[in-house]
Amino acid sequence: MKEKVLIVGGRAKAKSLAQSLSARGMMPVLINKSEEDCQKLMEYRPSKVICADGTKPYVLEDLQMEAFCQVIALCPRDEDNLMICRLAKNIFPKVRTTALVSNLANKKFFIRCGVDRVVCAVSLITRMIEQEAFMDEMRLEEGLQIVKLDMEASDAAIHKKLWELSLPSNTVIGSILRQDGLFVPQGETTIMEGDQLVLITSDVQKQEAIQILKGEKSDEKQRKHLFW
Amino acid sequence: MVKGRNRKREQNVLVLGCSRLGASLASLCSQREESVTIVDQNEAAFVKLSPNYDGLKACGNVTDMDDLSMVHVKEMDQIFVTTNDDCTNVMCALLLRECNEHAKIFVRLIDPERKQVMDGYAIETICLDDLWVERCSSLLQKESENTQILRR
Repeated sequence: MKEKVLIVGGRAKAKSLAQSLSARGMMPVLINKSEEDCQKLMEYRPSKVICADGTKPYVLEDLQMEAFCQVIALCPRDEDNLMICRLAKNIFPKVRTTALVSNLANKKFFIRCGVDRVVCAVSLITRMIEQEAFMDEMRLEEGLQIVKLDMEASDAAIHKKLWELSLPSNTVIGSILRQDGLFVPQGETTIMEGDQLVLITSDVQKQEAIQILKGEKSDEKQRKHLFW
Repeated sequence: MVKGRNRKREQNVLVLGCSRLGASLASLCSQREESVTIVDQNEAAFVKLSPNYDGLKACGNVTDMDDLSMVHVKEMDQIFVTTNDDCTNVMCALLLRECNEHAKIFVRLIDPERKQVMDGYAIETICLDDLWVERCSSLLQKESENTQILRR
């Protein structure tokens, strides 16, 4: 039987989420209180669109027989999403709830209130813009980040095998992009000129890891050049 | 020597949402010489307060923790959550319960079925429809008692 997912609220987000879920073989059911939004959602013909207010208990109780495994609340107001997720927990046994929040400060509060997953769209988008605009680094949860590193002929780690490098404890080379091919390195892998490394490392050990791979700091290198 | 009014056991009361209900509650508490604070996001709503109201008025969003901490929610003894939106009231009450464990919290609900989302949080809900039913049944009861007396 297909997994049933209930999506409450949201227009563009609900539509594209429903499309991607049905592509993955699930069965999305959409609830939206605006008739106009429901018309729009119907255009794409998902399994079911219900025009109702999902924050009302009887609306969800009417769907009790559907046995949803997931409820996703995409309303623009945080308080509506909290209501939907808390009602869903009461009405559908063993359901997993996901809520969208617009205020990042509410994320932890929602989790304490029993919502399983909380997504803050604004913070995700600003984070992505920051990455695209400013750096080749991506911040993961609490203190971890992903760093992209281009290897040049003069770097310390060139022609060395990974096991020969003593990288700091919280650091791994997740993948290497070499001549348009991407692979996950092993201990025996040798680092070549032109490789693009993707490093997963902690905030604290990032500098140390880069120094081991690239060699001495670039300003010292420049000074050496001057001596020559 | 204690000067001024002798305030017996002053309570700190917080009213959230200056609806007609909120405004009358705040006015009542202020009349009873309790120290009252009322919060609404719309300043114009405060005109509903009685002219004798002498408590504090604060502009803010009742589901925003930053705004709530500005009105010292931790020191409140009684809190009335009375905006005219159930979802706002529920979220506000749950936020308040987290940062103030001792206060009595009363929440206005329009849909009594929504009570279930606050089970186990020691939050009192009051719903107009339930009050209507109670009042009607007590009035009808009285009436039937009266007719029985007349029949005798």
